[in-house]
Amino acid sequence: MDVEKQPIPVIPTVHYNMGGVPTNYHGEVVQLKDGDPDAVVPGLYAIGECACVSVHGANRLGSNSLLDLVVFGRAVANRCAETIRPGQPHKRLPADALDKSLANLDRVRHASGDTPTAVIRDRMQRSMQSHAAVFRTQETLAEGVEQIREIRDSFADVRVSDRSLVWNSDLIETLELQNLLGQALVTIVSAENRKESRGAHAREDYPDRDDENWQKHTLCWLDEAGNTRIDYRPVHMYTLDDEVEVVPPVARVY
Amino acid sequence: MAEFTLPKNSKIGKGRHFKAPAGSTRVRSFKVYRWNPDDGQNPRTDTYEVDLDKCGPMVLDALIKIKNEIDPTLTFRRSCREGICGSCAMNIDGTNTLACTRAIEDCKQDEVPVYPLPHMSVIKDLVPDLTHFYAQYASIRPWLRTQSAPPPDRERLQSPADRDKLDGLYECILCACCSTACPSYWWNGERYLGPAILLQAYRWIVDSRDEDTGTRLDDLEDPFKLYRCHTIMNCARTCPKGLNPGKAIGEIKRLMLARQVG
Repeated sequence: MDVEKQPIPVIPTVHYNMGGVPTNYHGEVVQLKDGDPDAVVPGLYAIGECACVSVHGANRLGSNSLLDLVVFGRAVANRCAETIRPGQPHKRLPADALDKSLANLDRVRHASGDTPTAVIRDRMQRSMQSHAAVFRTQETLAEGVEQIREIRDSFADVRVSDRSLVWNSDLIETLELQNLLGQALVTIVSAENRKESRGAHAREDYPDRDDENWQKHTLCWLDEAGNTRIDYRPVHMYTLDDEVEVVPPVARVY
Repeated sequence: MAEFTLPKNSKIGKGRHFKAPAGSTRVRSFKVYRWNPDDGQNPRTDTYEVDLDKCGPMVLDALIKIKNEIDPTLTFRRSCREGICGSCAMNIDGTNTLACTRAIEDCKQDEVPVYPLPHMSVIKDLVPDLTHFYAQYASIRPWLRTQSAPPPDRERLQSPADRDKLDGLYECILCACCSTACPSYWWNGERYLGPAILLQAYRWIVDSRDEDTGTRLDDLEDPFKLYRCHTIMNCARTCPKGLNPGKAIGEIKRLMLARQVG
């Protein structure tokens, strides 16, 4: 194209995933267990884009990811130094601890279905782009949930062409796709479920924030069959010390 | 006796030819170097015909299209697709450059040849082994080295004029295009640091905040590390970021001389 004669097409696209593995401010993974939403999973940490410390709630602010890495990378290191004794042995792993992962690797590496990785990935990308985009409605989200479920199921028919164990980017891209399909499904299922607008989740049919019903984090579980289950964890409306007051959410206006 | 031809197992054979689908309107061919460490075969070149009306403008767009739609086994590094990560450095149309910033339209040959960076060990297809290159980078200890205590209440500051001295240096993304275009690096790559690493070395030497300049120069005072640069200047010619490593090397040599006479 000639930029002197034609306008440059601009399209919003995903460049950061909000949400992720829930953690506390030490980077320790927490789970909902026996009614306790902050039950620490001992020894498991998450940092960076995979994690959700939820510093900025539903808002994707500039430098979010830098904060994820720099601040919480350090916090995790400090926490490890506090909690691990030098020379402390690992717990004995069950002998079959790796079997599931290796079986999956082997199955994907030899996958000989009819649909190349790139085709399934393209369908997923297009469906997410049109159904879980910047502005959402019940109709588009519900349709997207159905489509993404179907596309996720189609992974059973994936084809990997490169069987090598050296720099096999076909295999890596397929394993990444397997992960992304799960991510896409929990993302769109959670978005469909949330009947309000909050931060980056902008719904045209529910334009307002609804603190009474929706001031809570969505937790979403996905099993191997593709079934999803949703629960919630409360938002921490307190600060860690008395230096600053808690900042309540306010309407974002321009 | 001197051997003037490639060893038998390095000779590049003719590979497969993938025709463009019928009805393609604007076809361009890419002749791509292929080598698989697993199959015991010689390297070969596969030719892929791509319909440019259904492809983005850059060579990387064509490679991704080939991988997605024609041959998923084609292997290459890529990440940012905007010329800042340096992953997709390769030899395209006879020149080392980044596939993501090289327009297909600007390639001269009808069948655009795409090869890995020259004179490197190949891991697979277009993926060269950069282990030694990175080890050389680590050897110059590329970080701010100081002796004085840092100011208690602020960062180490730098005047705008001193900051300007880093222009033309800090932009280097370590893609290795220059080093692998340098005949001196081809012949003496084990001991000559090469243009990319020397440009990086100069970037720290000239930094007003660095206090280890003497040691940095001492470390380069060696018949191979620095002085194998014979100002061939392939480095500046090929740099996809428009930098001039040869000039940076010249500046290091000048500083070496200045401290000998001074």
